[in-house]
Amino acid sequence: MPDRARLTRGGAAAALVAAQAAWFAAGFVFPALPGWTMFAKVEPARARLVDATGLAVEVYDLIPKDVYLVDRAGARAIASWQCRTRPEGAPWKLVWPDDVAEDACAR
Amino acid sequence: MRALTRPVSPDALEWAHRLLGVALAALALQQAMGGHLGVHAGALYGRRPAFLPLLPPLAAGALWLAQILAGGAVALGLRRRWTVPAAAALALAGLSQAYFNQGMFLFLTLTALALESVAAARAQLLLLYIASAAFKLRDGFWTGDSLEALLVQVSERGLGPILTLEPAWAPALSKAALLGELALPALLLLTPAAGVAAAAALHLGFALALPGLWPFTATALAAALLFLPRKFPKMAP
Repeated sequence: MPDRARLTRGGAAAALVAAQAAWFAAGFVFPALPGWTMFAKVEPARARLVDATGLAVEVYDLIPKDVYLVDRAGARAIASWQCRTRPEGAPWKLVWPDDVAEDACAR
Repeated sequence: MRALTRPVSPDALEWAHRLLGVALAALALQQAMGGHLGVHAGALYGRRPAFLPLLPPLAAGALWLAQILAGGAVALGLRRRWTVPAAAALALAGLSQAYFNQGMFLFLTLTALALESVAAARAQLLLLYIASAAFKLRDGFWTGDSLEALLVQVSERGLGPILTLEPAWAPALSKAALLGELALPALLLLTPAAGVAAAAALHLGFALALPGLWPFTATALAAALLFLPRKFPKMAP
């Protein structure tokens, strides 16, 4: 490989590592970013979504099998998506295992 | 720094490529069979960058097929000068549709090898362990609460892990995982063979207990293998 091409590739590789380091630092400072958290903080997030007729669906059943629900914010995001995509079921309630319910479409 | 730039064992480099190819194909298959088609059809929620358009189901299927073919070509050693960059590009395209840390890590590792920089792939793995351990320390992972919640979720959803771990073991297992992630960078740099063995044990444990992590396991093992140095100077034929 010509030296110039090798240097360009080397520079790109170094930039890639630097970008990853910056991404890690940003994720550490701003928890909303999807950093390299690797299940560092997981909370019980099982919940049901109940529509106006009383029909319930598990939040777990609204995500693919290889996706883990790691916090209640994730369950609320799914509830919000359900509100947007299934407005005919409104008002939707998000019901936690202790039977505490909240407006699923509040977000 | 020298440990990052020393020449890699040719056998390890070959196996790293094979594992990365398998990881990309496995990730695509996992998505195709795990319900992601439902995301593209609007029936399921998907985590992805909101500013990018969601592909229709047919196009998503084509993307997964392309990933499987590219992954297979990389694993089989077909024209890697072209197939490794193509696999990296397809991994990036996949991230635009479903964001996973394991997909991002696979994209970064493939890109490093497409740029012919083993040092960058090594540095990325070290960063991953350091970042993961730092987040776990910050968030109190060692208490076991997070792993317990995760194991309970696996059970509640009937995900069917190969190895069923009792939630009661979570505090001890969490400490072991955290210690492993803290020790792995030093092991890989100072005693690469022991580091690869430890990485294999840690990641196989994760994959056996938590369904869906096989692509990540293959990627991490591939990156760990890259720490194995070339033992002897290459002989002229």
